Amino acid sequence: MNSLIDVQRGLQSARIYHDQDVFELEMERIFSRCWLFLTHENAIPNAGDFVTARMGQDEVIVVRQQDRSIKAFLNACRHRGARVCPVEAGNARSFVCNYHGWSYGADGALMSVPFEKELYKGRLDKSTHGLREVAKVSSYHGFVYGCFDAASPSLVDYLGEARWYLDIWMEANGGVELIGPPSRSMIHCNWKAPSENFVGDAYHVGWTHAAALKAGGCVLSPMSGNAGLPPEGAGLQVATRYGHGLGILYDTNPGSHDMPLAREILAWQAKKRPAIEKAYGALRARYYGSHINGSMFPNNTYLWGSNLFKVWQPHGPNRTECFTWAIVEKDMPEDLKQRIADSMHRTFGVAGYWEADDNDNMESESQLSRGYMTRKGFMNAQMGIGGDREDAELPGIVGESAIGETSYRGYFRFYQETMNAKSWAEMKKGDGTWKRELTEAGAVPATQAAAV
Amino acid sequence: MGNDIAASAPPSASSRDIPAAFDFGKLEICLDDAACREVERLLMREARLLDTEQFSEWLEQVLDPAIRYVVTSRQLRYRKERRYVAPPEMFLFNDDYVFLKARVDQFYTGMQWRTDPPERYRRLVTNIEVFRTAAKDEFAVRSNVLAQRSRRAYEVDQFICCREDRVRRCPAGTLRIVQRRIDFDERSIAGRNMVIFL
Repeated sequence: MNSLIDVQRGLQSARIYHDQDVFELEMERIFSRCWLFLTHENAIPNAGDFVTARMGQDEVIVVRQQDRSIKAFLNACRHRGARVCPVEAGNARSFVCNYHGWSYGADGALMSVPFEKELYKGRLDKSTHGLREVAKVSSYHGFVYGCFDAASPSLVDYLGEARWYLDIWMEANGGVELIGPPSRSMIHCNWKAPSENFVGDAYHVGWTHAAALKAGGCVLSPMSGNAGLPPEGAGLQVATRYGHGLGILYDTNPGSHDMPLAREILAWQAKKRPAIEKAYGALRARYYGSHINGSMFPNNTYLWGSNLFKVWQPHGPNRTECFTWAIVEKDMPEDLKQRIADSMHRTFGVAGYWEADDNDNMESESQLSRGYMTRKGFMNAQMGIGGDREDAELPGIVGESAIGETSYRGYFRFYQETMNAKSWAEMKKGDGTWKRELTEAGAVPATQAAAV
Repeated sequence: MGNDIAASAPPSASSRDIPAAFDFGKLEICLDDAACREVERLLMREARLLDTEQFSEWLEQVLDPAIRYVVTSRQLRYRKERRYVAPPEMFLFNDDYVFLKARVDQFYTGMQWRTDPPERYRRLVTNIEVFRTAAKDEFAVRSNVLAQRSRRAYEVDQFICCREDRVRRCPAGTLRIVQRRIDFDERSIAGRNMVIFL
């Protein structure tokens, strides 16, 4: 798997969208080791509240415990492996398997087995047959993540320098929540195609979404049809440790929302901005009013400004299920929250006319990788390579342009690192070198790279 | 780029009145065959206009300007669930006329590469039942629709659902759809996206 990613030249093998062996290794090295989004705490406020979620191809139940902590369990009976919870959300005192009636508590413990005494005659150790628990579950500003690997860094350390940017919209504004239930749809693409798009692609907006920009009427509309490039200094891109990345387009926050709603949001933000500026500084107060695209590695995407929050769940190399929630500020009036959710789904939901444009690109780049010769080629993420740098004020590695592929390079540098590493301990080595690898990328002329 | 840039033809602010579902069991079935046939003709014309990409004509000839067009997706929960009270449905569509027009307008921008070459649409509208409502010249209509979208060489996506419509006579004398509510059956939409009018 060493040949999949060329960090130095900013290239990625087309095999990563197609090959079954790559996919299987991703399940092992990425989805069983990285922190994966499960739910938001506001979906499970009370003891016994639960939601079901996916971690890679594993199904899990996420349950609020009596002591307010949150645990997650594999949604599979310990007897013959049938599903114990067929719904997406609820409040439960127990989870009962349909197959033979084994019953588990909200804490995952195996409580009762039909005819246990008569049929097992004391030979079943119930204490070792609880639902298999996800090693770690942790929340960041209410966003709940799970990790199968006990040796992983904490969630806080895993998010690392990305938190400086996340805190702007997850904390500085008084906090956000997700409006659910999520929409769900199946896209015929590889899970990385959308994850990488949202991590750092402002390039496609004016072109892919030309029609939506022209007809939708929003603050981004002047980009329609590549009529205009955001001016020099209109934004930046950031790559942080463990593959997370984001892009900021200054002062364009209500993003894809229609103008009447955008004006309401702007008025709302104007009231909050002075306090944010005072507590977090002028720079981050400006980011609060900016449009921020980002992905948390591996498959969790957000657009602050267009208010979407998504996970791209792998169902195989060529199938990805998209879950979409709306991000709203906690203290917004209920009516405004709902209208933001409506507007977000209108643009970026299953019936969203922006989303459908993106889907087509993601499907074609994934499906064409089936071609034997096509798959031998490399995909190019070289825009801005050589210009990535560290900054005195901004955490992470910074690319100084609204449009560039800095975060793509950071995403795939870590992708390669985690695909190659046997353990989190082995990944410690990258802590000291990852920034240099990114800032020194591009030293070799790109023309030597693309030979097929 | 900036907040001061005004968009062309901005949609107007709209209220968020979600129409309640009909309880068809409590409504009186319409026995006026002429009225039923008129409703059927409206739905057939709608299917033809949408199948043949006449979206502007659909807006102008089939919809009432007060249209509320709602498609929900319902979270999977136990029948007996009582203690979990978070809203069970989300809105794939919650559009008024202005937003429906914005969807239609982007088709006509000349920039919509997604539908070039053209997508092909086919709608089968069946099980049409017409009910009387409290208002004169207004009907509740239940119908099933199978909509198929064929795109490029290999993409064939099917959407099957039940429409609950409110239809009323406009001042010009013809029937128009003033409300459509669809509680979509399939939870995880297999057909990639639902950028199609159902």
